[in-house]
Amino acid sequence: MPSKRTIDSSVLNEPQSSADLVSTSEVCTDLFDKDEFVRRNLGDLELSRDVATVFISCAPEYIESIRTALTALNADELRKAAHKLKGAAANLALSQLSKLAHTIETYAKDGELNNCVDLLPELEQKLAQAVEVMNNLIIKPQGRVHQ
Amino acid sequence: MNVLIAEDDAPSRLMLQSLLNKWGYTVTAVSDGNDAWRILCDPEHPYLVILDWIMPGIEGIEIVRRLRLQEEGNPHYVIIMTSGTGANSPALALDAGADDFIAKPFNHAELQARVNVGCRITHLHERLAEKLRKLEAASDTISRLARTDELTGLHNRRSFNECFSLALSSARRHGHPLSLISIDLDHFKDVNDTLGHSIGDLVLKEFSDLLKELVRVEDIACRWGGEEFIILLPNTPREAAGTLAERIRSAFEQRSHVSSPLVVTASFGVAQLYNGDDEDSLIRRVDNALYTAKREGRNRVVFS
Repeated sequence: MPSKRTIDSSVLNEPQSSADLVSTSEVCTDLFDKDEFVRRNLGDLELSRDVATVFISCAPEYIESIRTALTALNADELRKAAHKLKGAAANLALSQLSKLAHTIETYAKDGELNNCVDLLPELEQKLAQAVEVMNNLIIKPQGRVHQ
Repeated sequence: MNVLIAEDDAPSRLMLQSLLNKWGYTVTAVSDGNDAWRILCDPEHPYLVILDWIMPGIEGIEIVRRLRLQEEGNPHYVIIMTSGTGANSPALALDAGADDFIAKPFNHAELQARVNVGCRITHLHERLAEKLRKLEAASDTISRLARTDELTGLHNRRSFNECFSLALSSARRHGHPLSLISIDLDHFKDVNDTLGHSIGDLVLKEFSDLLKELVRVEDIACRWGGEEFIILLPNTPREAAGTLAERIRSAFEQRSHVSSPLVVTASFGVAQLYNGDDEDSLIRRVDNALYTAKREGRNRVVFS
Protein backbone atom coordinates (compact mmCIF):
# COMPACT_ATOMS: atom_id res chain seq x y z
CA MET A 1 0.00 0.00 0.00
CA PRO A 2 1.27 3.42 -0.79
CA SER A 3 0.33 4.76 2.60
CA LYS A 4 2.60 2.21 4.30
CA ARG A 5 5.49 3.17 2.17
CA THR A 6 4.92 6.83 2.95
CA ILE A 7 5.45 6.20 6.65
CA ASP A 8 8.80 4.63 5.97
CA SER A 9 10.67 7.85 6.39
CA SER A 10 14.12 6.34 5.91
CA VAL A 11 13.66 6.36 2.14
CA LEU A 12 12.19 9.82 1.89
CA ASN A 13 15.02 12.25 1.72
CA GLU A 14 17.82 10.36 0.08
CA PRO A 15 18.08 9.29 -3.52
CA GLN A 16 17.12 5.66 -3.74
CA SER A 17 19.81 3.66 -5.37
CA SER A 18 18.96 0.16 -4.22
CA ALA A 19 16.99 -2.01 -6.61
CA ASP A 20 14.74 -3.10 -3.77
CA LEU A 21 13.63 0.46 -3.02
CA VAL A 22 13.02 1.22 -6.67
CA SER A 23 10.72 -1.75 -7.02
CA THR A 24 8.79 -1.05 -3.81
CA SER A 25 8.44 2.61 -4.70
CA GLU A 26 6.77 1.93 -8.04
CA VAL A 27 3.22 1.97 -6.74
CA CYS A 28 3.95 5.02 -4.75
CA THR A 29 5.64 7.05 -7.50
CA ASP A 30 2.61 6.39 -9.66
CA LEU A 31 0.51 8.03 -6.99
CA PHE A 32 3.05 10.69 -6.06
CA ASP A 33 6.61 10.83 -7.39
CA LYS A 34 8.22 12.84 -4.68
CA ASP A 35 11.69 12.85 -6.22
CA GLU A 36 10.37 14.00 -9.53
CA PHE A 37 8.31 16.69 -7.83
CA VAL A 38 11.27 18.00 -5.85
CA ARG A 39 13.44 17.87 -8.97
CA ARG A 40 10.86 19.98 -10.77
CA ASN A 41 11.25 22.52 -8.00
CA LEU A 42 15.00 22.53 -8.65
CA GLY A 43 15.62 20.52 -5.47
CA ASP A 44 14.18 23.29 -3.34
CA LEU A 45 12.39 21.50 -0.47
CA GLU A 46 11.02 24.74 0.90
CA LEU A 47 9.40 25.57 -2.43
CA SER A 48 8.18 21.99 -2.84
CA ARG A 49 6.45 22.22 0.51
CA ASP A 50 4.89 25.58 -0.39
CA VAL A 51 3.57 24.27 -3.71
CA ALA A 52 2.20 21.11 -2.05
CA THR A 53 0.56 23.21 0.66
CA VAL A 54 -1.17 25.37 -1.94
CA PHE A 55 -2.29 22.25 -3.81
CA ILE A 56 -3.73 20.74 -0.64
CA SER A 57 -5.57 23.94 0.17
CA CYS A 58 -7.00 23.93 -3.36
CA ALA A 59 -8.12 20.27 -3.18
CA PRO A 60 -11.70 20.95 -1.95
CA GLU A 61 -12.06 23.58 -4.66
CA TYR A 62 -10.99 21.16 -7.42
CA ILE A 63 -13.62 18.61 -6.36
CA GLU A 64 -16.25 21.25 -5.72
CA SER A 65 -16.00 22.79 -9.19
CA ILE A 66 -16.22 19.34 -10.78
CA ARG A 67 -19.23 18.43 -8.64
CA THR A 68 -20.95 21.76 -9.38
CA ALA A 69 -20.48 21.34 -13.11
CA LEU A 70 -21.82 17.78 -12.91
CA THR A 71 -24.86 18.85 -10.90
CA ALA A 72 -25.56 21.60 -13.43
CA LEU A 73 -24.99 19.10 -16.29
CA ASN A 74 -22.60 21.68 -17.70
CA ALA A 75 -20.24 19.60 -19.85
CA ASP A 76 -18.05 22.54 -20.84
CA GLU A 77 -17.49 23.69 -17.26
CA LEU A 78 -16.85 20.10 -16.27
CA ARG A 79 -14.28 19.75 -19.02
CA LYS A 80 -12.49 22.90 -17.83
CA ALA A 81 -12.59 21.91 -14.17
CA ALA A 82 -11.22 18.45 -14.94
CA HIS A 83 -8.58 19.98 -17.22
CA LYS A 84 -7.42 22.28 -14.45
CA LEU A 85 -7.07 19.41 -11.98
CA LYS A 86 -5.30 17.34 -14.65
CA GLY A 87 -2.69 20.09 -15.16
CA ALA A 88 -2.20 20.71 -11.46
CA ALA A 89 -1.85 17.01 -10.70
CA ALA A 90 0.58 16.56 -13.60
CA ASN A 91 2.80 19.38 -12.36
CA LEU A 92 2.78 17.92 -8.86
CA ALA A 93 3.81 14.50 -10.18
CA LEU A 94 0.48 12.94 -9.14
CA SER A 95 0.13 10.84 -12.23
CA GLN A 96 -2.78 8.58 -11.19
CA LEU A 97 -4.84 11.60 -10.26
CA SER A 98 -3.85 13.40 -13.44
CA LYS A 99 -4.82 10.41 -15.57
CA LEU A 100 -8.19 10.08 -13.89
CA ALA A 101 -8.88 13.80 -14.33
CA HIS A 102 -7.91 13.40 -17.98
CA THR A 103 -10.43 10.56 -18.38
CA ILE A 104 -13.16 12.77 -16.92
CA GLU A 105 -12.10 15.65 -19.16
CA THR A 106 -12.37 13.39 -22.21
CA TYR A 107 -15.80 12.09 -21.21
CA ALA A 108 -16.95 15.66 -20.58
CA LYS A 109 -15.71 16.70 -24.01
CA ASP A 110 -17.77 13.89 -25.53
CA GLY A 111 -20.77 14.85 -23.38
CA GLU A 112 -20.79 11.52 -21.54
CA LEU A 113 -21.65 12.92 -18.17
CA ASN A 114 -22.90 9.63 -16.74
CA ASN A 115 -19.44 8.16 -17.02
CA CYS A 116 -18.12 11.20 -15.18
CA VAL A 117 -20.61 10.68 -12.35
CA ASP A 118 -19.40 7.10 -12.04
CA LEU A 119 -15.79 8.24 -11.76
CA LEU A 120 -16.42 10.93 -9.16
CA PRO A 121 -16.02 8.70 -6.04
CA GLU A 122 -12.73 7.34 -7.40
CA LEU A 123 -11.53 10.87 -8.12
CA GLU A 124 -12.36 11.97 -4.57
CA GLN A 125 -10.54 8.97 -3.21
CA LYS A 126 -7.44 9.57 -5.38
CA LEU A 127 -7.33 13.20 -4.42
CA ALA A 128 -7.63 12.33 -0.72
CA GLN A 129 -4.78 9.84 -1.15
CA ALA A 130 -2.68 12.42 -2.92
CA VAL A 131 -3.24 14.90 -0.11
CA GLU A 132 -2.33 12.32 2.49
CA VAL A 133 0.80 11.18 0.69
CA MET A 134 1.99 14.72 0.13
CA ASN A 135 1.33 15.54 3.75
CA ASN A 136 3.43 12.60 4.79
CA LEU A 137 6.23 12.93 2.29
CA ILE A 138 6.65 16.62 1.77
CA ILE A 139 4.98 18.64 4.45
CA LYS A 140 5.57 16.73 7.68
CA PRO A 141 9.18 15.61 7.15
CA GLN A 142 10.42 19.14 6.61
CA GLY A 143 13.25 19.97 8.93
CA ARG A 144 13.25 16.59 10.61
CA VAL A 145 16.59 14.86 10.86
CA HIS A 146 16.40 11.26 9.78
CA GLN A 147 18.58 8.69 11.47
CA MET B 1 13.34 40.95 -17.54
CA ASN B 2 9.74 41.08 -16.43
CA VAL B 3 7.49 38.17 -17.39
CA LEU B 4 3.69 38.10 -17.28
CA ILE B 5 2.24 34.75 -16.20
CA ALA B 6 -1.48 34.04 -16.51
CA GLU B 7 -2.32 30.70 -14.90
CA ASP B 8 -5.51 29.97 -13.01
CA ASP B 9 -4.25 26.97 -11.06
CA ALA B 10 -2.68 28.24 -7.83
CA PRO B 11 -0.01 25.54 -7.22
CA SER B 12 1.08 25.60 -10.87
CA ARG B 13 1.26 29.41 -10.75
CA LEU B 14 3.37 29.36 -7.58
CA MET B 15 5.70 26.78 -9.10
CA LEU B 16 6.10 28.64 -12.36
CA GLN B 17 6.60 31.98 -10.66
CA SER B 18 9.17 30.57 -8.22
CA LEU B 19 11.15 28.83 -10.97
CA LEU B 20 11.26 32.01 -13.05
CA ASN B 21 12.38 33.99 -10.01
CA LYS B 22 15.17 31.48 -9.43
CA TRP B 23 16.27 31.97 -13.04
CA GLY B 24 16.50 35.72 -12.52
CA TYR B 25 13.20 36.91 -13.96
CA THR B 26 10.81 39.27 -12.28
CA VAL B 27 7.26 38.01 -12.55
CA THR B 28 3.81 39.55 -12.72
CA ALA B 29 1.40 36.69 -12.05
CA VAL B 30 -2.37 36.74 -12.55
CA SER B 31 -4.98 34.03 -12.22
CA ASP B 32 -7.33 34.77 -15.10
CA GLY B 33 -7.41 35.97 -18.69
CA ASN B 34 -9.24 39.23 -18.01
CA ASP B 35 -6.55 40.40 -15.58
CA ALA B 36 -3.88 39.38 -18.08
CA TRP B 37 -5.55 41.40 -20.82
CA ARG B 38 -5.90 44.44 -18.52
CA ILE B 39 -2.16 44.33 -17.81
CA LEU B 40 -1.32 43.92 -21.49
CA CYS B 41 -3.36 47.05 -22.25
CA ASP B 42 -1.27 49.14 -19.82
CA PRO B 43 1.29 51.35 -21.57
CA GLU B 44 4.08 49.79 -19.49
CA HIS B 45 3.74 45.99 -19.42
CA PRO B 46 5.88 42.89 -19.81
CA TYR B 47 6.60 41.82 -23.39
CA LEU B 48 7.48 38.25 -22.47
CA VAL B 49 4.17 36.54 -21.75
CA ILE B 50 3.29 33.00 -20.61
CA LEU B 51 -0.42 32.22 -20.95
CA ASP B 52 -2.39 29.21 -19.83
CA TRP B 53 -4.54 28.06 -22.72
CA ILE B 54 -7.67 27.30 -20.67
CA MET B 55 -8.48 29.70 -17.85
CA PRO B 56 -11.39 31.84 -16.64
CA GLY B 57 -12.01 35.08 -18.51
CA ILE B 58 -10.30 35.44 -21.86
CA GLU B 59 -8.50 32.22 -22.78
CA GLY B 60 -4.80 32.29 -23.64
CA ILE B 61 -5.36 31.61 -27.33
CA GLU B 62 -7.82 34.49 -27.62
CA ILE B 63 -5.45 36.85 -25.77
CA VAL B 64 -2.65 36.10 -28.22
CA ARG B 65 -5.01 36.67 -31.19
CA ARG B 66 -6.06 40.05 -29.84
CA LEU B 67 -2.49 40.96 -29.00
CA ARG B 68 -1.32 40.31 -32.57
CA LEU B 69 -4.12 42.49 -33.95
CA GLN B 70 -3.27 45.52 -31.86
CA GLU B 71 0.50 45.35 -31.36
CA GLU B 72 2.72 47.57 -33.44
CA GLY B 73 6.49 48.11 -33.69
CA ASN B 74 7.47 46.15 -30.60
CA PRO B 75 5.92 42.65 -30.70
CA HIS B 76 5.35 40.42 -27.68
CA TYR B 77 6.87 37.00 -27.20
CA VAL B 78 4.04 34.72 -26.16
CA ILE B 79 4.35 31.19 -24.84
CA ILE B 80 1.10 29.21 -24.59
CA MET B 81 1.02 26.55 -21.96
CA THR B 82 -1.42 23.70 -21.48
CA SER B 83 -1.65 20.19 -20.15
CA GLY B 84 -2.88 19.23 -23.57
CA THR B 85 -2.60 15.71 -24.80
CA GLY B 86 -4.09 16.72 -28.12
CA ALA B 87 -1.46 16.19 -30.79
CA ASN B 88 -2.48 19.35 -32.62
CA SER B 89 -2.39 21.66 -29.58
CA PRO B 90 1.03 23.15 -30.38
CA ALA B 91 0.00 23.78 -33.98
CA LEU B 92 -3.24 25.48 -32.90
CA ALA B 93 -1.37 27.67 -30.42
CA LEU B 94 1.26 28.69 -32.97
CA ASP B 95 -1.39 29.31 -35.63
CA ALA B 96 -3.21 31.64 -33.26
CA GLY B 97 -0.04 33.74 -33.07
CA ALA B 98 1.91 32.22 -30.18
CA ASP B 99 5.69 32.09 -30.48
CA ASP B 100 6.08 28.89 -28.52
CA PHE B 101 4.24 26.17 -26.68
CA ILE B 102 4.96 24.45 -23.37
CA ALA B 103 3.15 21.31 -22.23
CA LYS B 104 2.30 20.62 -18.59
CA PRO B 105 3.82 19.08 -16.60
CA PHE B 106 6.78 21.36 -17.28
CA ASN B 107 10.15 19.83 -17.80
CA HIS B 108 12.08 22.49 -15.92
CA ALA B 109 15.18 22.39 -18.12
CA GLU B 110 13.04 22.75 -21.23
CA LEU B 111 10.92 25.46 -19.61
CA GLN B 112 14.04 27.43 -18.69
CA ALA B 113 15.50 27.02 -22.17
CA ARG B 114 12.26 28.15 -23.82
CA VAL B 115 11.81 31.14 -21.54
CA ASN B 116 15.44 32.10 -22.18
CA VAL B 117 14.77 32.00 -25.92
CA GLY B 118 11.80 34.30 -25.32
CA CYS B 119 13.99 36.63 -23.28
CA ARG B 120 16.62 36.74 -26.03
CA ILE B 121 14.03 37.45 -28.73
CA THR B 122 12.32 40.09 -26.58
CA HIS B 123 15.67 41.85 -26.07
CA LEU B 124 16.25 41.67 -29.81
CA HIS B 125 12.82 43.21 -30.48
CA GLU B 126 13.57 45.99 -28.01
CA ARG B 127 16.94 46.75 -29.53
CA LEU B 128 15.47 46.70 -33.04
CA ALA B 129 12.64 49.03 -32.03
CA GLU B 130 15.15 51.40 -30.40
CA LYS B 131 17.37 51.37 -33.50
CA LEU B 132 14.33 51.99 -35.70
CA ARG B 133 13.28 54.96 -33.55
CA LYS B 134 16.77 56.45 -33.83
CA LEU B 135 16.88 55.79 -37.55
CA GLU B 136 13.53 57.49 -38.08
CA ALA B 137 14.62 60.50 -36.03
CA ALA B 138 17.88 60.71 -37.99
CA SER B 139 16.03 60.39 -41.26
CA ASP B 140 13.67 63.21 -40.23
CA THR B 141 16.65 65.41 -39.38
CA ILE B 142 18.38 64.59 -42.65
CA SER B 143 15.34 65.33 -44.76
CA ARG B 144 14.76 68.60 -42.87
CA LEU B 145 18.40 69.59 -43.38
CA ALA B 146 18.22 68.65 -47.05
CA ARG B 147 15.37 71.10 -47.49
CA THR B 148 16.73 73.96 -45.40
CA ASP B 149 19.18 76.74 -46.17
CA GLU B 150 21.84 76.39 -43.52
CA LEU B 151 22.55 80.08 -42.91
CA THR B 152 19.03 81.49 -42.90
CA GLY B 153 16.79 78.54 -42.04
CA LEU B 154 14.61 79.36 -45.06
CA HIS B 155 13.68 76.74 -47.65
CA ASN B 156 16.58 75.98 -49.97
CA ARG B 157 16.34 75.75 -53.72
CA ARG B 158 15.67 72.00 -53.76
CA SER B 159 12.74 72.43 -51.38
CA PHE B 160 11.44 75.41 -53.31
CA ASN B 161 11.50 73.50 -56.59
CA GLU B 162 9.52 70.63 -55.04
CA CYS B 163 6.93 72.97 -53.57
CA PHE B 164 6.79 75.01 -56.78
CA SER B 165 5.94 72.01 -58.98
CA LEU B 166 3.20 70.86 -56.60
CA ALA B 167 1.74 74.36 -56.18
CA LEU B 168 1.79 74.95 -59.92
CA SER B 169 -0.13 71.81 -60.80
CA SER B 170 -2.58 72.42 -57.96
CA ALA B 171 -3.17 76.02 -59.14
CA ARG B 172 -3.77 74.82 -62.70
CA ARG B 173 -6.11 72.03 -61.62
CA HIS B 174 -8.24 74.23 -59.39
CA GLY B 175 -7.92 77.42 -61.42
CA HIS B 176 -6.46 79.24 -58.42
CA PRO B 177 -4.10 82.21 -58.78
CA LEU B 178 -0.43 81.76 -57.87
CA SER B 179 2.28 84.42 -57.62
CA LEU B 180 6.02 84.68 -57.13
CA ILE B 181 8.09 87.43 -55.56
CA SER B 182 11.74 87.55 -56.61
CA ILE B 183 14.05 89.56 -54.35
CA ASP B 184 17.65 90.78 -54.52
CA LEU B 185 19.38 92.83 -51.81
CA ASP B 186 20.72 96.09 -53.24
CA HIS B 187 24.47 96.73 -53.38
CA PHE B 188 25.03 93.75 -51.17
CA LYS B 189 28.53 93.30 -52.56
CA ASP B 190 29.45 96.60 -50.85
CA VAL B 191 28.43 95.21 -47.46
CA ASN B 192 30.63 92.16 -47.93
CA ASP B 193 33.51 94.18 -49.32
CA THR B 194 33.56 96.93 -46.69
CA LEU B 195 32.28 95.15 -43.57
CA GLY B 196 33.27 91.56 -44.28
CA HIS B 197 31.33 88.39 -45.00
CA SER B 198 30.34 87.73 -41.40
CA ILE B 199 28.45 91.03 -41.28
CA GLY B 200 27.03 90.20 -44.70
CA ASP B 201 25.75 86.93 -43.29
CA LEU B 202 24.10 88.78 -40.41
CA VAL B 203 22.29 91.06 -42.88
CA LEU B 204 21.08 87.99 -44.80
CA LYS B 205 19.81 86.48 -41.56
CA GLU B 206 18.11 89.69 -40.56
CA PHE B 207 16.34 89.87 -43.91
CA SER B 208 15.35 86.20 -43.70
CA ASP B 209 13.89 86.72 -40.23
CA LEU B 210 11.83 89.55 -41.64
CA LEU B 211 10.53 87.26 -44.40
CA LYS B 212 9.59 84.56 -41.90
CA GLU B 213 7.76 87.20 -39.88
CA LEU B 214 5.77 88.64 -42.78
CA VAL B 215 4.81 85.68 -44.99
CA ARG B 216 1.80 83.42 -44.30
CA VAL B 217 2.33 79.81 -43.21
CA GLU B 218 1.34 78.50 -46.63
CA ASP B 219 3.91 80.69 -48.41
CA ILE B 220 7.33 79.25 -49.24
CA ALA B 221 10.16 81.71 -48.58
CA CYS B 222 13.40 80.48 -50.11
CA ARG B 223 17.00 81.62 -50.27
CA TRP B 224 17.76 81.17 -53.96
CA GLY B 225 21.46 81.74 -53.50
CA GLY B 226 23.82 84.59 -52.47
CA GLU B 227 21.64 87.59 -51.71
CA GLU B 228 18.72 86.38 -53.86
CA PHE B 229 15.43 85.21 -52.42
CA ILE B 230 12.16 83.98 -53.87
CA ILE B 231 8.71 83.63 -52.31
CA LEU B 232 6.06 81.26 -53.62
CA LEU B 233 2.53 82.44 -52.84
CA PRO B 234 -0.19 79.86 -53.52
CA ASN B 235 -3.77 81.12 -53.87
CA THR B 236 -2.51 84.71 -54.33
CA PRO B 237 -3.14 87.16 -57.19
CA ARG B 238 -0.42 89.59 -58.24
CA GLU B 239 -1.96 92.58 -56.40
CA ALA B 240 -1.86 90.81 -53.04
CA ALA B 241 1.68 89.61 -53.83
CA GLY B 242 2.66 93.20 -54.67
CA THR B 243 1.19 94.45 -51.38
CA LEU B 244 3.25 91.88 -49.46
CA ALA B 245 6.39 92.78 -51.44
CA GLU B 246 5.90 96.45 -50.65
CA ARG B 247 5.37 95.67 -46.96
CA ILE B 248 8.65 93.71 -46.87
CA ARG B 249 10.47 96.43 -48.82
CA SER B 250 9.43 99.26 -46.53
CA ALA B 251 9.89 97.24 -43.33
CA PHE B 252 13.44 96.36 -44.40
CA GLU B 253 14.22 99.93 -45.39
CA GLN B 254 12.90 101.37 -42.15
CA ARG B 255 14.37 98.78 -39.86
CA SER B 256 17.53 100.08 -38.24
CA HIS B 257 20.03 97.40 -39.10
CA VAL B 258 21.83 96.30 -35.99
CA SER B 259 24.19 94.23 -38.03
CA SER B 260 25.32 96.88 -40.54
CA PRO B 261 25.95 100.63 -40.35
CA LEU B 262 25.24 100.79 -44.08
CA VAL B 263 21.65 101.23 -45.23
CA VAL B 264 20.67 98.05 -47.06
CA THR B 265 17.57 97.96 -49.24
CA ALA B 266 16.02 95.34 -51.50
CA SER B 267 14.46 95.23 -54.98
CA PHE B 268 11.40 93.15 -55.81
CA GLY B 269 9.85 91.57 -58.91
CA VAL B 270 6.28 90.25 -58.78
CA ALA B 271 4.59 87.93 -61.29
CA GLN B 272 1.39 85.90 -61.38
CA LEU B 273 0.99 82.59 -63.15
CA TYR B 274 -0.74 83.01 -66.51
CA ASN B 275 -2.23 80.46 -68.86
CA GLY B 276 0.59 79.07 -70.93
CA ASP B 277 3.21 79.69 -68.23
CA ASP B 278 5.40 76.84 -67.11
CA GLU B 279 7.85 76.90 -64.20
CA ASP B 280 10.68 78.34 -66.28
CA SER B 281 8.66 81.03 -68.01
CA LEU B 282 7.11 82.24 -64.75
CA ILE B 283 10.54 82.44 -63.11
CA ARG B 284 11.88 84.27 -66.18
CA ARG B 285 9.08 86.82 -65.97
CA VAL B 286 9.48 87.47 -62.26
CA ASP B 287 13.26 87.82 -62.70
CA ASN B 288 12.74 90.26 -65.57
CA ALA B 289 10.52 92.36 -63.30
CA LEU B 290 13.28 92.27 -60.68
CA TYR B 291 15.90 93.45 -63.22
CA THR B 292 13.56 96.29 -64.17
CA ALA B 293 13.32 97.27 -60.48
CA LYS B 294 17.12 97.27 -60.31
CA ARG B 295 17.42 99.28 -63.53
CA GLU B 296 14.87 101.81 -62.41
CA GLY B 297 16.86 102.68 -59.29
CA ARG B 298 16.43 99.75 -56.82
CA ASN B 299 14.52 99.66 -53.50
CA ARG B 300 11.22 99.22 -55.29
CA VAL B 301 8.57 96.69 -56.35
CA VAL B 302 7.96 96.09 -60.07
CA PHE B 303 5.19 93.93 -61.56
CA SER B 304 5.76 91.70 -64.55
